[in-house]
Amino acid sequence: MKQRILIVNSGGDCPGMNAVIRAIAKRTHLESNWEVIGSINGFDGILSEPLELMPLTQEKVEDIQTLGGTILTTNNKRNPFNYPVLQEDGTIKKIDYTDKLIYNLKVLGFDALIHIGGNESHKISLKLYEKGVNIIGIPKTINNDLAITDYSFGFQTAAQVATEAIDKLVTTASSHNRVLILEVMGRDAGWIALSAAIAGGADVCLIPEIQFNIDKVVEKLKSRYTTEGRGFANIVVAEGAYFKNENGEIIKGNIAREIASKLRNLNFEADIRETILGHLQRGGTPIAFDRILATELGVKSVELALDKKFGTMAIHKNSGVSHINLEKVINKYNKVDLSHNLIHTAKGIGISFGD
Amino acid sequence: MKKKVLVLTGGGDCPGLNAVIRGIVKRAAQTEDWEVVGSIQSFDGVLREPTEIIELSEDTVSGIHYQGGTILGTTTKGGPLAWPVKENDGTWSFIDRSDEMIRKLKHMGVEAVISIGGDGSQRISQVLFEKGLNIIGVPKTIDNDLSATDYTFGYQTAVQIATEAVDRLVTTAASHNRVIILEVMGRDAGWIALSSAIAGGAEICLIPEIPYDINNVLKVINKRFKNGKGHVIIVVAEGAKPMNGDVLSQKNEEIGNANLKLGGIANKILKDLKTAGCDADMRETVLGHLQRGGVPIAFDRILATQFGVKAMELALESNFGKMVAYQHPSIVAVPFLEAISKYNVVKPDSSLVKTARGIGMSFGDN
Repeated sequence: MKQRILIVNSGGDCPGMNAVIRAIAKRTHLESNWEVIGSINGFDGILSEPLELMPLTQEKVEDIQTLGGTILTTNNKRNPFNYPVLQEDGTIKKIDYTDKLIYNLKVLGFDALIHIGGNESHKISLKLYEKGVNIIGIPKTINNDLAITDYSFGFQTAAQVATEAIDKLVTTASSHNRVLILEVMGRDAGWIALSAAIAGGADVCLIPEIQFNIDKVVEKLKSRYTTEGRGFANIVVAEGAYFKNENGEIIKGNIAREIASKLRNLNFEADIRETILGHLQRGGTPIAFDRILATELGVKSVELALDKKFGTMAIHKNSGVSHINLEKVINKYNKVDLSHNLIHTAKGIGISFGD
Repeated sequence: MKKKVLVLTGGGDCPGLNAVIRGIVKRAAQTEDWEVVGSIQSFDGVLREPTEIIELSEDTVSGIHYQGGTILGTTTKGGPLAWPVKENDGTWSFIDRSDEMIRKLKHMGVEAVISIGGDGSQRISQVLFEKGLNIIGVPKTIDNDLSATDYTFGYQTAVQIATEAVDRLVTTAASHNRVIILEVMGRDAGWIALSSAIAGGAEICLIPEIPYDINNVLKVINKRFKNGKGHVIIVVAEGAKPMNGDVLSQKNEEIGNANLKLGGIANKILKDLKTAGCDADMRETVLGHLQRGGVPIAFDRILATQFGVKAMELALESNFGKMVAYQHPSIVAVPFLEAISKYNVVKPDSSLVKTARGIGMSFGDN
């Protein structure tokens, strides 16, 4: 019997996941005594009755690198340590299913498990490794918030999508003398907002790493308008950005709408509109940069499996791929450092952070 | 009177040039005492009589980061060190006008020059710097062939365009059971070819750094075709060459352009495959200047803006004789001499080549 690799992808989807899956399959096919199988919907495929597993043949992965999403489908609510199991009385109980996972992997002859996921997923990866699973991680996040890798696939595509949104918003804002607010993803990191603001040419960029002051935002907006009310301005705001209102309460969440209503309350004269980009940032064809990066990580992860270097993660560091032990990965968030050159550049072209 | 910084773009154009110009102007606008002017068509704007110099205000550069090309125009010919002059007998000779140009710049009140250009431009900058000109360089090449910087702007846009070309060629090749050969730019480096081959999913990639044997290429094609069915995409860099063979090039007929014209390799491969006995239908596409045109992708606009801001700051610090560069995650300044000393070509043992081989791609070398 051939040796087997199982692919599990967890967490939110991200452009480039299919390129990883294809690369893993293609690299495995170069080995005559290995084969690769995918688990459907996160860990469901390997834990459900009946099992849902997809043999990843050459034909199955042909040209999927151009597709967004993941052919395996994904789920961010399937932690095998706290797995939702339907009980006979119809209720759902969360139980530790890892022994079943380990049993299934053994019975089905899986020699390695490649887990594609973000911060939370790899906490699970490490715990599974400590329980004896031959696991290898691949980082996945559109938020660029993993500190151990210079780049994560999906991020550049998200930044590109957000930039193209600003390109469009600029022309309509200038035609109507409006203030347009664009809310982008990023969780607690401002990378997408910052990148899109620089690339698209926004006037204000609000990110979680810099608490902003609404009066400073108004000041910047005013500088963009003539006394006759002519002018326009674009604000890019990260979903995790926040400010304090006049009562000292922290306003967080729904941030584009909060800012818009605040500006209206402050009697800012211009028309204000908001756009929430949402899952457009996760969909569609990955740009070349992300496909290449994803392919590099996919190939590397198989080679780590062939070398039996388990408990590791494939990363991109110093212009090349390498690997790192999983315990060094956990809780290493990559937020925008205020001394980062992108902040310096943004300020250098006059972008305001509302501070 | 405000201090003047003069900006110019030289060499082949490249998506992101306008974003650099905008970055410089916007950074200068943050100061009280600096203004920016631009020389039309590289140094020609300074050298011509009358001069062609334009004022670059925040209004001039508003929204230009979105546009490809350069609002200043550019040229790959001539320059202050080899200015073409037509003799009475109709032949051309070249004269060194650098001393005159430096005097002219001084007279115009230019305190600093920012030259955005490729390795040829950086070489000129070094000579001018040695002659006493306060000059700063910004690297520009779609070919990614400068070793001092991790990436140059324009390169990722070129890769993106080449990748989208592969995406399109895959569907038509598959429908017709064809071999399609795509020729991309890159001069003596295979970066654009290698990157677009990986991202687009080509079966064969031929680059200058790894000479190929046409029989190995044919072997891969034959393996992919069964009973006349199958398809193959070959991405070939314009500078690719067969084992024991040379790069296809022609002398440039344009006056003052010393660069050899590369190209024609896709057609050569098509013919050589036919001669070697390939009976599949074959077609070629030469991507050409589509790789230089159009809207730069976000990555390149961001990098270009970082370069522009940094270049202006070097001027503010009177830190001359250097070129800005990206060394992840920082933007640094490296002396021209260091910047132009080494080409960045694809190393056959690099992780990108290993990745390509890891998904079964052939370089035609075995």
